[in-house]
Amino acid sequence: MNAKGTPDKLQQLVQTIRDLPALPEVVVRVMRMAEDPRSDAAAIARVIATDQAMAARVLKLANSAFYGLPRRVSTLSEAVVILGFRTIKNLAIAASTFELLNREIAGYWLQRGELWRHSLACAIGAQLVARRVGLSVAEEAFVSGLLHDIGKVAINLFVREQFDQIMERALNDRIPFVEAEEAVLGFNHAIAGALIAEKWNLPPTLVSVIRYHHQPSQAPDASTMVSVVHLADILSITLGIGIGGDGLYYTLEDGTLAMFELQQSDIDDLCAQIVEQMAQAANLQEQPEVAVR
Amino acid sequence: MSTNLTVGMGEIQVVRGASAVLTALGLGSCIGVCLYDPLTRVAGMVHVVLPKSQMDKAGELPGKFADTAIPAIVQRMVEMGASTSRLKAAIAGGAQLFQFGVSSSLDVGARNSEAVIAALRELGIPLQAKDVGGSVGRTLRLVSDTGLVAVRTIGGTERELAVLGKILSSSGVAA
Repeated sequence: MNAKGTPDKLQQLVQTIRDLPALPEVVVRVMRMAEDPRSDAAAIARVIATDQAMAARVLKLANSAFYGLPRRVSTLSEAVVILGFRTIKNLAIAASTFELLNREIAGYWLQRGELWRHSLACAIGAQLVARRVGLSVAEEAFVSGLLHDIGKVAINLFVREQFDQIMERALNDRIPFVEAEEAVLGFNHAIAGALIAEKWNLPPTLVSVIRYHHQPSQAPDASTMVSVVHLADILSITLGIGIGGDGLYYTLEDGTLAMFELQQSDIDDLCAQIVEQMAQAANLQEQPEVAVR
Repeated sequence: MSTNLTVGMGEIQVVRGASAVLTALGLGSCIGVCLYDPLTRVAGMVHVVLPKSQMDKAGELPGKFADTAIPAIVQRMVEMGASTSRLKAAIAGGAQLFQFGVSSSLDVGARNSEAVIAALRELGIPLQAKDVGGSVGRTLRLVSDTGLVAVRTIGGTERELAVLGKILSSSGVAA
């Protein structure tokens, strides 16, 4: 066993992240095709269809309440045409991270499925906030919210070993859990998440959202999306959706509500909508059974 | 063999005399409200999410809001043979974000606690025990046979909060 020390831990973290599964080749190709104006819907659908499990999950997400489609889509090419390249790309990313996010995260006292529930609540919340504030890329909000806590998967074992020290540090120094993680471990779940996002070659804006979702004002590009996801995360934590041993030991950054001109009644309204949509989304956790053509 | 019933957000569960355990998982700012009639052993739990119902929204789960949840669960329990005058309550949840000012728009937890306590008082239901506030997540259990109420802090151990089935001290039982 090596001596304790931050550089050593950081190296272990990098190794842990290296050992995480890569984004499936299908998603990488869909991401590339979605950015290329010469791509066509049928070609993108064909690429997704090469991975049956992912194709089923993409269809299931496409038919879920968040997209509010007027009728059920039953084929991938239909989904690509109706939802557009960008949405399909996000759905593919979401579908491919399900296995990771659905894991038990014992370090945070999260049972299997709880981190996925929290991530989904944040994704729903981010989309609701983005729409409410008229953000033109409300579309990106969903996937940004979904991936914000991906770093917890990587630092799980580190947190499990030192959960008590981290919590003690938070209570003694009166700092949020995420800052206590950094004080004790030398890194936190946001930093780890950004490393994963970089490994996966996700877009820089998404890396930034994950990295700064607890301190949006620190983000170099200070994009609105970081604050949107920050607020959605805090609302999901407050509601207790998929919260673990770190509980509500987090803070909402000053000025966030003012930035979006949100009052108490708006917050209550957003909370009510998140709960409502989560109830509708409950079946997303099941194994997909949709046949793909 | 007892039945486990999970009480999801905004849901109401009521059982009578059965060996059931009602559980609300992952209470943050939400409040789990346990109600119990020691005589008929009608047990109920509701998972309250927000303090006040929205007037303009029809078809909402009444259990979601404190002001509609308490009357709704009491009615369900009375329909199953409970008497409002014998009901006893215990509550848990209502957590807050860390270091958050009282005046904040995000003090949902504190507003939930206040609203639930007010709604119980309105119906004259005694609150035997409460475990509210702080920044911890909680899991709440109600055992229908005995009225035992237990709270577990997520990441911590479970402790007994109350036994609502103790009938000796209750004046309502003789009625």
